Amino acid sequence: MKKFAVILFVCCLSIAALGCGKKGLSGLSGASGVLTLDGQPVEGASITLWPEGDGRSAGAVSDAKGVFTFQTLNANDGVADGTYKVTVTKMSVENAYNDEEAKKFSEAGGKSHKQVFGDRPEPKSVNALPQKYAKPETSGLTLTISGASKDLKLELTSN
Amino acid sequence: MKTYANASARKGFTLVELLVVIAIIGILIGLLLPAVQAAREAARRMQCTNNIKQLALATMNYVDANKDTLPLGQDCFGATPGDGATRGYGWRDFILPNMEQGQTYQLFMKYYPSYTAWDCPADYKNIQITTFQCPSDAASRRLNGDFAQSSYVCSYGDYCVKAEGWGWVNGSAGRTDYSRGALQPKTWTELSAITDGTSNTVIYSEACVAPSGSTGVKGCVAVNRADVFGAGTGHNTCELSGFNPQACINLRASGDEFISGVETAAKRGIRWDDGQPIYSAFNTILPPNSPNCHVSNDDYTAMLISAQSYHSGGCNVGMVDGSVRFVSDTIDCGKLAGGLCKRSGRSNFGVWGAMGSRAGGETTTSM
Repeated sequence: MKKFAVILFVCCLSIAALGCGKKGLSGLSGASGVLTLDGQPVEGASITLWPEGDGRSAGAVSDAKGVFTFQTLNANDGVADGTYKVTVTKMSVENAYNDEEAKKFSEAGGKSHKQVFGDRPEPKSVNALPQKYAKPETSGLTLTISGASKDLKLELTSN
Repeated sequence: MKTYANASARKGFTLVELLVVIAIIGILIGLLLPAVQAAREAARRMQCTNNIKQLALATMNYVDANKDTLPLGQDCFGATPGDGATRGYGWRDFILPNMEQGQTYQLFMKYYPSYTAWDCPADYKNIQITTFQCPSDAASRRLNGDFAQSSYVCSYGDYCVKAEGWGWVNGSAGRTDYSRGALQPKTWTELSAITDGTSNTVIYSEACVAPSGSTGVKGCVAVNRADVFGAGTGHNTCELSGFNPQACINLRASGDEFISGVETAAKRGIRWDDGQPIYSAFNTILPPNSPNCHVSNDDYTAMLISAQSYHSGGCNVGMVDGSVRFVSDTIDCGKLAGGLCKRSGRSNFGVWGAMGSRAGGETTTSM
């Protein structure tokens, strides 16, 4: 009888705990690894997984140690099993507007950069990584995900 | 002679009985507490659904009163639609007389077009209209400076609004603002142009209002995101290779924050009277409750702006015909990596993109 009560107690707790589940995609598994360029870890690079065939894409941004953890919709929710082409970019905007300039441009009512700022150089995006890694046709990188994995490697080279 | 059972009955509960009682109370509390909380949120969500329905019906009233055209998403103050400098007002201002806000509309007409949406007197821009405020979004009921705020945004479809080139590269002469959705900036949509069907085409949804100083995914926009909009200068648009909506999702960290190092602007919904997309529109590319990303940090250039809400698991979405649906965060959006926007034909962004486009020619079977 005592045993039965204990079992009942545990069952009740686990039923209550069921209500705390998080919504999201199912069937994803955690996948992480390290991104390097010529052996050095790359920080702040945006990695995208392009599914071959149907399915959702996934991606990650590498941290200071080059470590990435893939996500499909929510933070670190993982990636579905399958084979993916991989692209990697590390983009930034040169000559970006500061807050004052952005406000001035916004309140000009739709004028062009030149009309508002004259000779000030236009903002321009630049890629710090080799451009071939920006497109799935030229990157030559693929990853196969099957189940959780922690030691994926993406090794880029400058040449 | 006393039996063992009788003796224990007099002493009180046994350990077994006590455990059973605790377990039963535990399960009742466990069931009841979340249920009470959920009931409150369900009521708020229902109120929010009703607000969107009112807005969609007001829009149908507008259509009846204006030769079968839908309101402008954003105004065109110029000789012809498309070539004038904007005064910045949007659909929220134009449907006022059709939602029993005639007095507010009179005030609007007093200031339009002499003032822009951002420099008009405070007695107009600080008017709080509860139909524009989602009860689940506490920030929407506060003032942001002189501005009242709004939780509801209009659909520009599966196309990055303001995406004709980078605004700063493509001069105003060649500029057209474009939308695939029910409402368009600077162009009136005719009801007959919604060939996908008014019950299949999204017109309004929600956006979390950004509390001032906030940096989170809900309400804020990640700015200067060249990783989403591609490399190089020139006419880099969401139609060209290099555009990558997945890169915007990559910026999401846990707890609805952006990953560290992302520059953000707290802008969504913070001006109720302003029709510029960042304040009053969304696109059906990233699924509901995804992050927002902007190629620059002004109010103009190409941006990926998502429907967002504080409801669990999705967003309320109003259709042109006045029906309201709840769209899940996990709705099919196609292959987001490298998904390109297009100006005609079937959407590249799955069911969500199909719901957004007014004339994509998709069959919408599953929602």
